[in-house]
Amino acid sequence: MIPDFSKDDIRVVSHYIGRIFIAFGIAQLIPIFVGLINGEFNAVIDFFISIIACFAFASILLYFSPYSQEINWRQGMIIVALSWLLAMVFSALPLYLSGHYGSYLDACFESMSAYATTGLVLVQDLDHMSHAHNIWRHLMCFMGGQGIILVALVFFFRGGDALRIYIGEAREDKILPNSITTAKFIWMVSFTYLVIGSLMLTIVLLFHGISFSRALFHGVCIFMAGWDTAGFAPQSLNILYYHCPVFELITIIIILLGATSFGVHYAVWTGKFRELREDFEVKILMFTIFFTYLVVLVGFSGRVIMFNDVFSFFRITFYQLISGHTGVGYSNIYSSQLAKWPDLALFGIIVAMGIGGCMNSTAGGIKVFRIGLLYKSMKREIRRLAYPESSYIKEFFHHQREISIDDAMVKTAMIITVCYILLYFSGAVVALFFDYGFLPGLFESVSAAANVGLSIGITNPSMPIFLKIWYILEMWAGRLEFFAIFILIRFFIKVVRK
Amino acid sequence: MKKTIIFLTFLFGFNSFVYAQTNINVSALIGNPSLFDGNMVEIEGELIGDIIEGKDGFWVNLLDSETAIGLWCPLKEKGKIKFLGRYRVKGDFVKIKGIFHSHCVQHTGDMDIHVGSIEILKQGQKIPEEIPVDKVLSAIFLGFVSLSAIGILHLLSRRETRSQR
Repeated sequence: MIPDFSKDDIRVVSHYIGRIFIAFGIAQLIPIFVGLINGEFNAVIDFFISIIACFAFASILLYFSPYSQEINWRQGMIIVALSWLLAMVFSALPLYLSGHYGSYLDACFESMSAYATTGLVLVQDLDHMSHAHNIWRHLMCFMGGQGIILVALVFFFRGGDALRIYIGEAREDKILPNSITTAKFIWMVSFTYLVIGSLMLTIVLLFHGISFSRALFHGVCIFMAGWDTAGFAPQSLNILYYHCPVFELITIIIILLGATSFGVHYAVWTGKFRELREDFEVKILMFTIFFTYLVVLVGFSGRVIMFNDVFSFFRITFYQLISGHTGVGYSNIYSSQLAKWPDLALFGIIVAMGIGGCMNSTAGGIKVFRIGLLYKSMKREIRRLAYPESSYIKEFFHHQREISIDDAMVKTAMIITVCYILLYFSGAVVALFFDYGFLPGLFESVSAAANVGLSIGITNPSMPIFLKIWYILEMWAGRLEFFAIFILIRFFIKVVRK
Repeated sequence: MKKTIIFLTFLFGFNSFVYAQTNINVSALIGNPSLFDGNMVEIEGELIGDIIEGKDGFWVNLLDSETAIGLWCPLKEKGKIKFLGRYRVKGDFVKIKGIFHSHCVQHTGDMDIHVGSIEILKQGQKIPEEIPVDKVLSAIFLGFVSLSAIGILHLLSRRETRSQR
């Protein structure tokens, strides 16, 4: 008999979500601190209200389910999927109160976009937003990139429970033997890079005459959204605001680091530099960057003249490609300019966005690991057919260690890849209902589902409400890689039936 | 012949300077960049953000109805700018004249305007922070209700724990 959902599930889920919301409340002390430093008392009140809401919600949940129990896989998945949805709703509160959003739905869209590290925005008049609200937008990216539950994981969960939550947030590699030590390592790497990356960006801006406080604010914001491949920026012009190729070059380094697996980071940190050369995922990433950029180049054949010179052409096209492939969504051109690109070049960007970055990184999309795995599996099948029936064909790849491909691994990769492709096309079909055209619709849908954030102009505050909701669902499903959401849906159906 | 060519070039070049395309907004420029590429344009808007210094000039961004664009300005214009739009700061509202580039060669492909002159139409100002009374009251009310609820729930759960023992 397959165990069905019970009241115990609800109690366990409520208890852990309650604990997670205490962490959310505490996280909002950072924007309060920034608001107080800058004398932004309106913003401080917004966050005060939001913290109260988080703590009150957590208290209610913890009252009805005060005891912690060991959680199983199913409960872990439900906790993750539901926490992300609730985090979106609660984190949108201070954004909405800021007055920079047309509706609460727009604020929810923005918070899901931040947590899922997408980078599509519906904010209005961003250039006049308070530092506190702006830092909150970027902090959400930073928490979401590592996995928002990973924040709470370090403090609130036990070993076995932690693993179930960890996997639920679409992380498959355990870099260290224990999930909590892995989570701590991920945070240590992220904070170290936060200091180095923000400092580098700050120094560049200081050289351009920007005051230290402003340069630091921009540096921290751009790092948090770049490292976590989110693509938010504190100004409406995004990266175009800085008019600085050196600044863009540093963001490219940051986003490539963000899109690299934490496993590779661990290897490099422990002195195994050859992993950079030998890791199968890094090799595939380099190949797909090269291949998709080739598609963009072919797409522009005969039209390079529109950029006036080759260097400008390379700077703009390569930046969009890297931005799309790693899922960051930073842009040094306007979305209306991107919309005018030739169809084949746009297709190249769509493919790059769809593939995404490395597994167990902050990037979204199908992930180069799965693409590589499917390629290796195809190679194995061809060899199996070509060799005598009695031969036993094995295919290996190097990903921190030598791994032999097995059917279960390929099956999981195939299921997730198919789910992503269906999700990409679903958004394109929905956009067709609103007369956006197939290619623009596909571009925006892939951008949302693969958590990229490049826009061709569809995403704006006046877009249809249904499309906003659809993109929220795409961002959520794409970030959690489906399984947690499927189990949550099944859970709700069972609860309703009972 | 050579003189005629020089004369015609000067005439057309001069023409484009004299007859700047006025009443253009930033959205129109961005929407149809090829239409205005290399032309003298005249636009109005609020200066926002920061002054970003460069070699022989500086960058400042101009916001016009939700869309911003980068202005590359000569150093001599810097002194005119007093306020840049940010949170609680209304930036200087200016009229600028300059040449629009859809992909500027000098600035490695940026879409920008090389400004000849900046005219301040209305000087910006700091906007004092007004805290809405209803927001403060609702925050206090919410805080009070929530803290009371948390306290009551805490007491209830302690009582339940005691009775279970």
